[in-house]
Amino acid sequence: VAGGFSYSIPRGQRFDDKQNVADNLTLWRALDPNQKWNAALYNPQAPVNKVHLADIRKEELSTAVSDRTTLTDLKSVRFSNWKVAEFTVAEARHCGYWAMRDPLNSEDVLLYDGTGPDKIASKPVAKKLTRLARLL
Amino acid sequence: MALEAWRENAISWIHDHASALPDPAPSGYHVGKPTPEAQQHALEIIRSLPDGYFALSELAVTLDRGIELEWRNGDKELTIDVLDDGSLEILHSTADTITEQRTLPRPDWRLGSSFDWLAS
Repeated sequence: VAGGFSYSIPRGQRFDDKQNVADNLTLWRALDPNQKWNAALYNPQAPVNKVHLADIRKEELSTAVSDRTTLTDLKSVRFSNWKVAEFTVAEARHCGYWAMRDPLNSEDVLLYDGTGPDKIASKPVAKKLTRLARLL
Repeated sequence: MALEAWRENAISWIHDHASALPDPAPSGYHVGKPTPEAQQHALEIIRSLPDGYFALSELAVTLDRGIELEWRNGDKELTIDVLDDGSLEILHSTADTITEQRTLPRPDWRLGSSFDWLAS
């Protein structure tokens, strides 16, 4: 636990687990619909079909992984009617992320910024991933 | 004088919606309630903008108990992250490429240069 958050993998024990998290897996990050104000009501420039920094920038980012679950299950059972950001493990690594299996949830892979795995992900790394992610 | 509709609604959203989010967040996928420091500094920034300035193009609770504010002008984007301790991370981007990054311990007059950059 740090700063009121509890983490699945403690600080100091994070690494890029290439052996157990293959590049070709797809990752899905479900996006909490309570997160955002409806900017489009007041600003026609507000992008509505785009993944934002706030959607994914986190010290330990939970994502559902395609070898343990399906997008259909994720969207119908676990996070009904939530939007989802989709990207591959290879894309996340290309941006600078490390990937590890979540020891507390077998359906999840956790992402950490490889340039500072014990801190909130840096803006350049997270921003890069927002550009590659698809919004479903 | 009445506040512009976007500003009044954004302020209400922080007071009524963001401050009522669960604390702590129920899972790693949910957002939790932003800290009082993050709420207070985000409100200060929204209130301090000159009348007639661009409406926010994004207002969101961050996954680490802060608040993100974003404005756009064409392909220019100004993002201000109010972190959980109330400090600010400021990002200027053009065509989705970061052009400047800086931090401030709290909102102050130096934010004005970022708002001028976006409007120029």
